Amino acid sequence: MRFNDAISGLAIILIAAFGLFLVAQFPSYPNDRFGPGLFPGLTLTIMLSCGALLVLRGIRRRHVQGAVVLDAWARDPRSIATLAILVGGVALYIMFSHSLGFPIAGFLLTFLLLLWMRGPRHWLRSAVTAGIATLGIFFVFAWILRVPLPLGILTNLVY
Amino acid sequence: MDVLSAAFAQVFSLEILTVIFVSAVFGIFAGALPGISVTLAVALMLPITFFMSPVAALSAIATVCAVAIFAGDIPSVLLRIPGTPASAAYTDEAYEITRKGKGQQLLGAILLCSSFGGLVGALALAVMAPILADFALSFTYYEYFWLAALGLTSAAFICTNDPVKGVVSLCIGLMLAMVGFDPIFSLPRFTFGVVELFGGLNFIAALIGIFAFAEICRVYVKGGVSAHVNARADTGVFTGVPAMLWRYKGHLARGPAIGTTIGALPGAGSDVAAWIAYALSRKASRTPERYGTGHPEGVIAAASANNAAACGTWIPSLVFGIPGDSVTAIVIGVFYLKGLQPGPMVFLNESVLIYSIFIAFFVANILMIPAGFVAIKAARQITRVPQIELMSVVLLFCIVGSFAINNTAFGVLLMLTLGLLAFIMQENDFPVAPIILGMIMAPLLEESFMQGMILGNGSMLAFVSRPIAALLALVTILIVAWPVLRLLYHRLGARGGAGRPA
Repeated sequence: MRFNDAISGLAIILIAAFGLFLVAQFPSYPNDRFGPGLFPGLTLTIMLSCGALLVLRGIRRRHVQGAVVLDAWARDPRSIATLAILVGGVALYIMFSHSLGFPIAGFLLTFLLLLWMRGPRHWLRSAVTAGIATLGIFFVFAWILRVPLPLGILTNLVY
Repeated sequence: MDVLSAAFAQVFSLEILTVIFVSAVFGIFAGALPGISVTLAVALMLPITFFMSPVAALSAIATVCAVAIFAGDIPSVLLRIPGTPASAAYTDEAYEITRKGKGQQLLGAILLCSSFGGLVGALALAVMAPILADFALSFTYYEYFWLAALGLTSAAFICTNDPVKGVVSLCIGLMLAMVGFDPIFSLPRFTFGVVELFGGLNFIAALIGIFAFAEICRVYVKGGVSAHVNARADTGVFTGVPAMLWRYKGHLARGPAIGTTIGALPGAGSDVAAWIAYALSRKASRTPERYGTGHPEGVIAAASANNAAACGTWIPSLVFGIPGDSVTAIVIGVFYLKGLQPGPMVFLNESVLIYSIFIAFFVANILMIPAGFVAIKAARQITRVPQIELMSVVLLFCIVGSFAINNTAFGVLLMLTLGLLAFIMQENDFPVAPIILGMIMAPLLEESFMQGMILGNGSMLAFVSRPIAALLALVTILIVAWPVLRLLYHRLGARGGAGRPA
């Protein structure tokens, strides 16, 4: 999904302007000429200038570059759904991994993603891949590297 | 001498040799898989290296850097898909050779060229870095500011197709690094009262998101590449290779020299080195008309150059703390994570570590030959790994890796957010490597800028008061001004041409 440079530039200008607004709130000291806002202020000013250049370029090219150009994948509802499932799946993992535990949440995320990508006919292959991946990563991080991955409802089972 | 023997003892310990061996296997596998770049391979390794000693962590990264560049040639030769961007320069040429039934022989030649190039690069690194470090001891805030500015400017202006978008990415990286306490006044900036943001954004989680999660999104929505290995009957791996290398010995000698030099320049890495070595080889060739028809001459020059550059990029990183490319930006991040400051002082205070890295590069480039031989033989199986399954495993690895740094889900959220941002940016032709360079370089750039301003009492002239600082400033300004000067030159040229009588 490609936006015209003018739209990207406008988004960059808005972000940089918001950043400059925040920088203006930074405390300044009476005897110090250079406060904590100097460097971020300079960076945001450069960013804002680049945003303005992109807006100008986008306006100049408006006849050859449409406002939004949808690539083949962005016109395919299945690809959009795939992206939503991927991002939503990770977001759900963040929300529920603590209570469910990594082995269950990690398995469910990988299994459901593979099931969506490969289709229900390949459920066994998806389940086996998800199971091996989850256990392998759990073994490396939790047992070898001692990372306290959440166990959630499995805590009582393990301890 | 004591330092060198201590470094040898450290590298040739069972622990480090095991780390190098496992990293070589991982590097070969990752490099040979289309879609897994060296940067992504190193990014995936970071959560593991986080738990290692500095020598083990940096040896592992050095090994993956050296080996994955070669492994990236395997899908280039067999599938016409560059395994890493460093192979892109000669992918078409290499595939033409495969179509003639000499793919395995070419891979054998590339393997030996890569190893040779890597060894020359490692030698240049071991010789040049300490000399430059000695020289860099006299540098002040001003030189460091301009060095950092030069590195970032090169990354944004030279190594991207669109300098304006490159600068935007760079500014985003700089701004992300400014979240948390500022280095001079210790005041919180851009934290919005969120406790997790007070310590700053974790660069490993950011890196995993920007390189790995964005790639997962790309493969999932656009589909992976289909791997159909050219099934034509082929020669043995090393059959006729010595004679071929002897025939093109001039290119074999020139490639590593070009690679090391380009790698040592800030902002340019293995991919740039391969393109330039291939182009120069064609210029120097007696048979330039054969290029593009399945002629190995340019492939030999470029394959040895990209491996030499992989070592060369470590020179500015170790000596000045200025990354040569996105991989060495990660290396600098690892230094900081281990409580070390890359730069000339590390050569004095951590000399055993530095020499251990040099030795690790030599070991990795030698180990590359047997590991590469096995990889060439197993190429059909490696390249056949289905990308959807692979990316699902990588996703789980990304989640755990970004969690493992601080043991909080905030790392996973950061990975997800920046990964999605990187995916959208890439879709709109914004380069993402400058984000990481900006994140890594921001503390050095800001500290040297602020200290310079305080020392010079606000005068920008102080920044060009020393000869080396002035020279670096001039080069930086020229790089920034170059696109404008070129545009003016073309406009004036066009006007002059139009005004001339017919």
